[in-house]
Amino acid sequence: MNLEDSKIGIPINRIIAQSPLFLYIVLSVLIVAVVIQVHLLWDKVLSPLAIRVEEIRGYSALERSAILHIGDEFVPYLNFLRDTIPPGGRVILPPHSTRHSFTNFGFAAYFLMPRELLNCGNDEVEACILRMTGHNSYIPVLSDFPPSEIASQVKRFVPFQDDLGVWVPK
Amino acid sequence: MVAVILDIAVTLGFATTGYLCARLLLKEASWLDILSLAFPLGSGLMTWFFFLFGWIGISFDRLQVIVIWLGVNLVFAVLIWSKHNNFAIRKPAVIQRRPSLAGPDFVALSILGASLIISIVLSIGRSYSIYDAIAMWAPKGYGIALERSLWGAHWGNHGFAYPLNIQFIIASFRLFSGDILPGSKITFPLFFFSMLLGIYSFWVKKRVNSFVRAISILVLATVPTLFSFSMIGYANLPMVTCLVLAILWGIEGMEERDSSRQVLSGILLGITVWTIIEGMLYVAVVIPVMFIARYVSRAGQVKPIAWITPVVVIGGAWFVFYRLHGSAGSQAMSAASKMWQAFLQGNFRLPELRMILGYARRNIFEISTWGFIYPFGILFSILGWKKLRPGNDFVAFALLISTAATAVLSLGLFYLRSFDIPGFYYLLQRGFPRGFMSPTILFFILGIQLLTSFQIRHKDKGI
Repeated sequence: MNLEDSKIGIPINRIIAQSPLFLYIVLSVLIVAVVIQVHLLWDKVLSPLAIRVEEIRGYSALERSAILHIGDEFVPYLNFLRDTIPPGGRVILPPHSTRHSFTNFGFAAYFLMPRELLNCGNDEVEACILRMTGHNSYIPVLSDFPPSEIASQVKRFVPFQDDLGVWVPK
Repeated sequence: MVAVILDIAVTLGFATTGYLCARLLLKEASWLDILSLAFPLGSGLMTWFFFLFGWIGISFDRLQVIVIWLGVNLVFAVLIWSKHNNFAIRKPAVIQRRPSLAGPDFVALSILGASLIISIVLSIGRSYSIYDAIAMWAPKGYGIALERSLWGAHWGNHGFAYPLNIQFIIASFRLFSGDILPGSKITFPLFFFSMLLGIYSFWVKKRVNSFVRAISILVLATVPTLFSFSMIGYANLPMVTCLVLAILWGIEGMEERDSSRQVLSGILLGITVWTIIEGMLYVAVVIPVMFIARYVSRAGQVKPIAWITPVVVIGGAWFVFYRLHGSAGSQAMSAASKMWQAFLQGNFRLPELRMILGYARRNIFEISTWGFIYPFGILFSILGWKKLRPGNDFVAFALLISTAATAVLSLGLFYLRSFDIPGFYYLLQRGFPRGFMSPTILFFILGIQLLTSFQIRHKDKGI
């Protein structure tokens, strides 16, 4: 590029763009962007995640999932459920609610497979529980489900801790 | 340790199929091309074959899976030998030398390699710990492995309403290693870095200045949303990977009037459909848009049969399955039906539409979400606006209208969901980043393409 070019009508933005200075400016801006993005990525994503992953390193894949999504306190209860309910058992879950992820049967399936899972319907909790008279159905306690006065008619309670536990066949 | 070895073997098994397919189709390719295509292409094709064989009743046992894998690869090997007489692949003329150890390419690719390792470690370390990954992708994969059958995908949410690429990948890891790490989570970083390598290779072939492309790929790799999605176990980024690679190979194939690269693009579009249900919609807009780009620009050539047939075969097989077994559980069909009913009653939900557009306008400039992608994209588009005119530069124009079409579709999908989802603003906040990855990435590729109109076009011969 020389001065003559500008006289024959090359647009000024092209003249600027063809100078080495333009390349250096573009590269400098891109480098600054990378530095800022790396800082943000580290600060907001990688560092907190790396610290958390390091803390839970000794746990199994399933336990790490539970810790990160539901909380550390859920893991012993999850292990209790997996130990108490046999792999061929049928697990009765509360009606689906957004308040607790575990009421979603797809979500609970990840943790309790190969156990079969069923949700009680919203309008038929009592009837649903009273139907569970078989020797293969189990009702884990989740929040206020199942109502103990109803569950006790068809199941026997195996406590875990606090109010948690699982209703097993009598 | 045994699980690690088995997980690596499964990964290499998929990648081998991808290499053979790429070798069959491409007369020449760089090692970057091969690395970028191997896993997305191989896993997509193999899982599609597992699905087909499963559909006709063949069980998903280790022996059957190995036999199917051997059979598919043997067919590819025979075809390669009969077509090329050679398994090694030739480098393109534009790529004649290896990167120098001190060169920007080597530095950028080394940083990408280190980032891939970080992403893999954290992806596996966090296991499946985000809702959709736990409730849908992982249990479906584990269900297939548990029941040794395609029909095991009834586990998890949404029945058979979603395509099964990711689920069969997860199932393969579960089948061979038990997925105790879980090794299947290597899948998501591999898709992300495959896309980055594919974009990098595209820039090399377009002779973008080596410093510019090296730093630009790091800009893309460090976008917080993209890096996060490489670790969480959602299928969005794998779908975006296939779509972006398909568009880039399609552009190249049309520009060079090369039917083989258009077939490759068609296969990748088919795998896009096969990966996530939205993929079908993205493909449905990208295909006409690319036709328009070619005819408006009057450049290159589209070979419609070569390009479209793989999409129809791969995507069509799943679509038939979906119509038979999946549409009952589909959220999209339910939302579309509700939207139609609302339209008939004259309810166009304009406040929600304004909400979506306003949210998008604010979100794309959030540095902690998209980094500097949009400021750069806009700046480079202003500088290179002349290349955006139809007829000036087919590549830039094709990228421009692909970006626009995918952006409109992404926004349209949110509008569709506004008819179906209570608490829509929460969905918008939660779902916008994952729904807007395709246009974002394409826009940045466009920006860098526009820079090549200036003197920063690369003078060396690539890597």
